[in-house]
Amino acid sequence: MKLRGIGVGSMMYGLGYGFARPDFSTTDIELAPDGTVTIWNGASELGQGLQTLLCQLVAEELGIPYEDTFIITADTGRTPDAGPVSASRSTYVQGNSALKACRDLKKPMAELAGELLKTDPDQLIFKKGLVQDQNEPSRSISFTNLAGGMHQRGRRVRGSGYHSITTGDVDKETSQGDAYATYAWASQLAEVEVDTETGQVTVLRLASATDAGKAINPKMVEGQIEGGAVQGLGFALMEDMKIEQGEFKNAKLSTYLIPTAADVPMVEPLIVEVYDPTGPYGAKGVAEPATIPTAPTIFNAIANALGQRVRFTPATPEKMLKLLGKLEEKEEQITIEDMPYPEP
Amino acid sequence: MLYRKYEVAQTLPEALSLLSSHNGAVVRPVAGGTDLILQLHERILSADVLVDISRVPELRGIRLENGQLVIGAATTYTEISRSDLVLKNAFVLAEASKKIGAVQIQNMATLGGNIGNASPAADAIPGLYALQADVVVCGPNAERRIPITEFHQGYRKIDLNPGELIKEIRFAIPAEGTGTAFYKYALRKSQAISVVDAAVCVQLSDGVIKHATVALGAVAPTIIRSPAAESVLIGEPPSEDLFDRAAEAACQDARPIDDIRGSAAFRKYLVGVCTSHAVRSACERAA
Repeated sequence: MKLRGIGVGSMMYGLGYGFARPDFSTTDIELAPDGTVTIWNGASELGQGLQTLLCQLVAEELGIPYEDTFIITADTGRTPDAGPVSASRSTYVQGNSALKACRDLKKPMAELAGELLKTDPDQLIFKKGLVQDQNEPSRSISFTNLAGGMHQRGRRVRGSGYHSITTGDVDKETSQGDAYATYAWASQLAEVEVDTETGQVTVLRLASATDAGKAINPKMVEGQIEGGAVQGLGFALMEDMKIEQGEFKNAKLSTYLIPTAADVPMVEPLIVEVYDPTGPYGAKGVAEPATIPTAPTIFNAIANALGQRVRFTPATPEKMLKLLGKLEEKEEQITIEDMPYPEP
Repeated sequence: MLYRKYEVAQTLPEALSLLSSHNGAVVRPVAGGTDLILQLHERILSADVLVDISRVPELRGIRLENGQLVIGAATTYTEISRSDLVLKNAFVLAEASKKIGAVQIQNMATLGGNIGNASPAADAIPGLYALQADVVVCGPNAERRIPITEFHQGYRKIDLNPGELIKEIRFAIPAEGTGTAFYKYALRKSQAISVVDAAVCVQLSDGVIKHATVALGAVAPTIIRSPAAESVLIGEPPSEDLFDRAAEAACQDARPIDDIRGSAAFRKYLVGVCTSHAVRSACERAA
């Protein structure tokens, strides 16, 4: 028999390390005489789009084309420490340090532009390849010419940005307090089909609404949301670490199964933009927020289909058949109900 | 180094002479390499010389010969699953070919390789057991024709002498009114090794099953036939109750083990699932 069910899962997530743990990033940028800018940041590009994102932020902040930015990341010989790529912190922390590096570079640039345009450097804005007096738009110089001028006059052409979101700790006695610099929210909705004969759970469709603060690159955010759902699906249904005597028994991709394209349903990514005043242009991380709700969503859908709760991960067919009473339960499953709750 | 020398044979006599012309060296034939190369990488096997037989014309292609279907050992799964002769006469093989790995593997891997690798979880072999196929092997001097049930002697053990090659597979075209089916149970939808699978041929005559073969994969050291399930089916009209009884009988013949993909109890249960699905599909196709 094939039973269908619908489930919702939601989460709140503290971005970065929190709890007074060091959480900072440094970015350096340098202006070339031709107006191009090179960015140095110690974070790793894992395929998530960090390099694209930092270039976009710098291009936007300096008002220059994306094509005029170059980036070097994760080179211990050349790049400043940006902290790890983890805790969904890259956009939020490394992005902020890149913006600060731009603002640092803009100071000497605005000084020279002020001299050349005979205007107040504080009134200058960097936009569309121009450095322009915001009150008197006719007073302007192209970013490229200004870059050349900076080099000719021997001005400072390097900027550095340091950003820290290191928070205070929570109360040691009560664990109360604001542990993180900011928080993200996400909800997902899924429909599943449980085959009670084979024990197989198929996710038929899934929608994922993730709070991005501001999507700096919407296509990349969609990719993160879709990838997060696939990873969450693997966690819910497939990824099963078999450890005996401390040894991994399935440390191969042929035995440690993750979803293939054939196992992934249509994922509908929904970007929610709630401007975060502490983020770069209002943005915050989406990586883990897009992954965390998937398993509870799927498990709620299974419960909706069966009228019975799954209290273990992953819900592999063999374990599902035990839950359904088709196979005898050999080993005792520790379920959430069995775990002692701390006294309030 | 996985091997020292790679030679490409253009004809069958050349392949046979290359296989026996390296004194003292470990010489292995390779076609798609989808099993062999992995095993060389993981040091399960070793080789000094690989002889590529994938281009040998005598080992390739699918043809009808005196009421028999002949499939060359170096024929790929993609070729098998697209062959009109297979689709019309041995649908079970086309169905199994599409379940092996994924398209990339199906484009490279060969039927002869699957037989030579002799994995108990091989997806193409249950169909050959159900079709009662023979394996034709050729050596420097003579050819031998062996029923596939005897060719597979034990866990990854085959009846092939040094210097011999698997040349082709032969089986009689199933009689009029025969339906065939393959059902694979795996832990994801593609790129997965069978936990259990079943291949079935049934011949219907006047609404009654006249002839039936049931083969099971990944439940014993080799692919096995299930005589119990076959005898339940023969002489009966297809019905859900019959499929259940055949499934139950097949479970009696299975001797599964615990491994990384599932426990013996899980496999035993799945034998029933796979058998009833395969028998039902085969009966529908026979009718």
